[in-house]
Parts: sequence; C-alpha cells; structure tokens
Amino acid sequence: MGDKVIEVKDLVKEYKQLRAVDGISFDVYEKEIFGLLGPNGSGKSTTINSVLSLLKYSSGSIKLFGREMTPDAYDLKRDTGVIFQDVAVFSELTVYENIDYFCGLYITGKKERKKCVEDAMELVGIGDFRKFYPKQLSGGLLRRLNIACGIAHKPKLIFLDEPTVAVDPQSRNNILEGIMKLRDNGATVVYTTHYMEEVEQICDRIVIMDKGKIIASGTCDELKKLAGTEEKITVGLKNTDKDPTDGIRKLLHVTDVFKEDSIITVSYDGGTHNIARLIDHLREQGVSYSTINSQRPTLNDVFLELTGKELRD
Amino acid sequence: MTVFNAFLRVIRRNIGTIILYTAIVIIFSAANSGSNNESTGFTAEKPDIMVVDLDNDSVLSKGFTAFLEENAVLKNIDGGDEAVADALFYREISSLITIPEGFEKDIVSGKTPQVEISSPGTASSELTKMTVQRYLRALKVFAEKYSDPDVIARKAQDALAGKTEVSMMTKLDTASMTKVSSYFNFAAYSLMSCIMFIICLVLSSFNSPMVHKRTVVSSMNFRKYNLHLILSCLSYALAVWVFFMILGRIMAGETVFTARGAAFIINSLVFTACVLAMAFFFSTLLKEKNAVTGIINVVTLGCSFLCGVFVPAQFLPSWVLTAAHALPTYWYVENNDFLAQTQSLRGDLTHYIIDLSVLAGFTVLFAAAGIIISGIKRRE
Repeated sequence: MGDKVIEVKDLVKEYKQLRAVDGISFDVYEKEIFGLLGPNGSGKSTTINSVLSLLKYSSGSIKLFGREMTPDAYDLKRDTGVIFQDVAVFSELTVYENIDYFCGLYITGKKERKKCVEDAMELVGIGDFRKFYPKQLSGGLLRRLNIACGIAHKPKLIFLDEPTVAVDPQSRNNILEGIMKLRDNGATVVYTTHYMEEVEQICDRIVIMDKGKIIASGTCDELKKLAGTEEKITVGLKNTDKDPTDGIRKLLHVTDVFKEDSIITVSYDGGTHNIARLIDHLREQGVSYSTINSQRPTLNDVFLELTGKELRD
Repeated sequence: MTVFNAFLRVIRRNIGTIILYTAIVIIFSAANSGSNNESTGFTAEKPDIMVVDLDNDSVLSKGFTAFLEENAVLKNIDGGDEAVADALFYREISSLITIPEGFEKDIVSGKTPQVEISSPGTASSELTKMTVQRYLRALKVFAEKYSDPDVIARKAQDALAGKTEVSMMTKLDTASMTKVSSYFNFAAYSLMSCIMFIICLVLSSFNSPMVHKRTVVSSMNFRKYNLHLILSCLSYALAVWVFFMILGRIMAGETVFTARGAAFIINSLVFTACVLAMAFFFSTLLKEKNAVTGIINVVTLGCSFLCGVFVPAQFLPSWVLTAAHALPTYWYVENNDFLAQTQSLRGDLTHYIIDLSVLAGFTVLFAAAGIIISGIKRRE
C-alpha cells in the first residue's frame, strides 16, 4: 500500500431527524481504486460530499493528502477531481468548450489546458464529438463528457459518484476501462456505486455501507469469504424420479443441498474440482441432468449474509 | 478569463434574441420618426370647409364668404347631400357652413341669422365655429350703426383684418425631442429584454445545481469566481447600453449628443443599472430556462405596457399610472417625457434628479433582494 491519500475518522453527519453517516472511519491509499458500495440511501453520497466539503459534517475529521479538508483548501482541491452522478455541463457549450471551461477552473495556462483537454477526450473516447453540443450526444457519450470534465486537469485523487447510472453496456465498459487507466496512470480513485459487478471488476479495496455505517471492508476476496460459502452449483434435473440430495450431501466440502422442483442447489465451503466430483456422483447414481452451473459468491451474497437483505432492495 | 469566455460563449448561443430585440427598437423608433411634431415656428391653421350661400349672393353673404376664404380653404363637393355627408365623415372637409336665405336682411334689421354649421366635432371645425361667430358679432356691431350692407361688410372686413403676431417663446425643438424621447422610451423594452433575458439565461446555466457543485469543488476561489461572474454581467450590460446609445445617435439624430441628450443618456445608464439588478434578482428565483423565457417576457412586456413605453403615458388610465409607480420603468419613462417637454434643464433639475434617485433606489432594492435570496438558497 502507498501513502494515505484520504483519512476519514469517526465521521458523523446528522440531519434533523436522521443520522445519515454514523461514525465511519476508513483510509484510502495512493494509486488504488477504492469502492464505496451500498444500496441507495446508505450514506455513500453524503460521505463523499462531506469529504469534498460540499456538506458541513457534524463531527469527526477528514484529511486529504495528510491535511485537513476545508471549503477553502484550494490547493487540495487542485489535486482533486469529481464526477457527479448527474451530468454537470453547459448545454450552450460544445464538448471541447465544456471540458476546456471546467479544466480552466484549475489550469489557467492556455497551452497546458489544451493538452489536458485533448488527453481527457482521448481517455474517454469522445474526440470525434468535440464540436457537438450536449443535446446532440447519446446518454453514454454525455456520461463520458461528464467524466472528461472532471478529470481533464489530471487530478491525483478522483471521486466518481455512480458514473454509470443509465449507461449502455458499451459506454459502461469504456468508462470502467478509463477508470482503470486513470489508476494505472497514478491516480487514486474513490468509486461509489450500487452496482456490485462494477466494484468486483475494478476495485482494489471495498467498503460496504448500510444505514450510514460501514458493515464490511476489505478486498473483494476477503469480503466474499464473509458470505459463508465459496461456491454454489445448480443442477437442472431431466427427471425427478430419483432424489440424489442425500448422496450429494455426503460429498466433500458440501455444506448445504436444497431441492426445489427439478432444481438442486449445492453449497460448498471451499475445495477444488467440486463440479467434476458432483458430475461423477450423478453419473454413478444414474441421474440425468439438463443443465449444471457453478457460481462463486457475489458481493450481493455478502450483503445478504450481513444484513439479511439484497443489495438492490 | 475562463468564466468570462464561457459567459461570452453562452451569450453567443443566444445572439438571435439580442438581434430580435434590437430589431424591435429599430422598427418602433423608425415608425415613430414618421410622425412630425414641428413646433419651432407658428403657422396659422386653415381648415377645409364648404360654404353654401342660400342668400343669393347678397353683399353681406359675399363678404362673409370672402372672410371665410381668408381664414379657411374653401372646397366644393359635387354630388349632392350624400356626397357632402361623406366628405364630412371622411374629413375631406371639417365643416359645412350654410348661409341662410335672408341673411343680409336679418343682419340689417338687427336680428341674428341662423348660420348652420355641420361638423364632425373636430378641432378644425371648432376653429371654424369660432371664426364664424367672430364675423357675425362684427356684423351685428356695425349693423347697429350703419344700414348700408356695403358699409357694414367693409367695416367688418377692416375690423377683422388685423392679424395676431405670434412669436415663439421657446427655442425647444419639440420635434427632435419627441423623436429622442420616443427612441429612449422604446429602448426601455429592448434594454430590459436584452439584459434580463440573456443574463437570466446565462446565470441559470452557471447556477444550475450540478454546474454550481462542480465549481464549488474546483480549485478556483469561489469569491473570485463570483467576482468574475459579476464583472461579466456588468460588461455585458454596459456593452448593450453602449450599443443602444450608438443606435440612438443613428435613429434619433444629433440631439442625442447635446446637453439635453446627455441627460437622456444618463437616465438610460441609471435605468440599465436598475435592469441589471432586476436581472440578478430574477436569476436567483428562476432556475429553469423555460421559466426564464416566460417570466421575463411577462415582466418586460408588463412593465412596457403599464409604464408608457409602447403607449404614451397620457393615454393610459390614471389607475394604471398609479400602479406603475411601483415599477422602475415608469420613473425612467417619466424622466424621458419630462426631458422632452421641459423648457430649461437648468432651472428644473430637481424633477430629473428625483426620478434618477428613485431609479437608483430600485437598483439598490433589487440588488439587496437578490443577495438575500441567494444567501438563503446557499445556506439551504
């Protein structure tokens, strides 16, 4: 791990009747993609807004690059880039002019800015649309423009607040690849989302939030261990004359077997070649099947295990 | 310069609006310049009349007709009563004077003959009535002393031959002044529209919640950013004002650059400052661009119609003018009208300064209201 870029300690943000963030602490390290995962209303955006000094928090401390973050800490803000969930651009300016304007809030030199704008357009892949107005762009391209506006000044620390909401799969992949490129180029990324697949795909470390509290943190693998299961195999039986569940339960590493109609779900607590062992067992028992799928636990399973509800509830 | 450049780019996207309102002021001013209101000299008015003599060309009726010919333009309408009635209706003649049968006999015998005057009740016909009454009174006076119709006619003619010398007490070129004040009054609508519409639109873009959020998290000092935004608005308003002053020189002539013209210009500058403050005030209330278009149209057109921009104030009902006192446009237009009519600026500056002060007061009021509202919104 590199140096600490963000240090949040005992952060509390209270509204009149609601404790939106309830005493959370976490650190973000240099050159990592840090995922803040949680359902809507879990306190992710409030946390980010507090870190950015957009919100006045009730108690706790926030440090960026080892220094306290305040609304007038302009030198800290110089190294920070933010991409908000909603697109924040001028409808009257072209793609190039928009990126140039937002970059100009950080960089005054014309030449340096021009290069930054070109680099940003290349990174998100909207160079061909430089003379287009936002109204002429598709939803995905608009999101890419939104990202380019936030990262054009080449910040060391980038906050992305749900940047892929309502984005088509092609643009989503492009955005995620871009974020990984930013990390590879030396930036630290804080990524908030409620899409667990994205977090699994790109984040080095993850914090899961619910009701304003951190309920789990660690790497993706570390978190998945909390799910209580390592592998799930689902078998679709061709006929249900024979019930093979008792035999399967005796197989190595099997923790649970569940049968509903013609579908059997087998849970494992570890081990390798579980699927091969199961296929052999079914063949020996003369049980014919139409489908067989192996599934590793997801962060949704972790969330389910920890809170008793789905991440998307 | 980043904020200023973006400000100009957003304005550039709305250039059509500026052209539209400029065209409106040009069209209105050009249309108004056609109405000449010459008053640097005096020319006696001669109404168009028709005389029907039923007294068979008696000496007195002939003398009467000759007198009328000196004071009016005699016209003859062929085609009978219907044609004469049409001529009166369409104002080809302002009066039909019928000298009754026995006119001379009545005068000589000391009676007052019934001279019939048909008219549509215009100012010209009233003038004709006065002329007729004047001549009849003279005939009556001389008929008391003389009995010979020739003598009575000659004496009356001589007595009424004297002309009143009219000399103009004022050097005020009211024709030019009307042209200038009309231009500046119409300019109120264009100034309000160009400044309020554009600034509200531009500020609604800069103050949209997400752009605002992105600005706040940037490394640009927020006070500096606000200062740049204010300077951009000021520069734009000033540029619009200068443009309309140059246009005023083209549309209203050299009078614009006289001492009195300078008073008009100062009045418009103070009004521009007030409009800018109004723009700032409304921009704090309006976030949606569609709302900007609707509300600003209502405000600018409402102010213009209520305060005498399109229709001169003297034609507006008194209750409208009373209500218009609550609007800055009223004081601007009132000051323009005052400048167009006052004989001497030197002796009558108090009225001018009071109107300017009221405009300045409105400026402070709108600016303060805007600051308070934006402060409340920021705290939210």
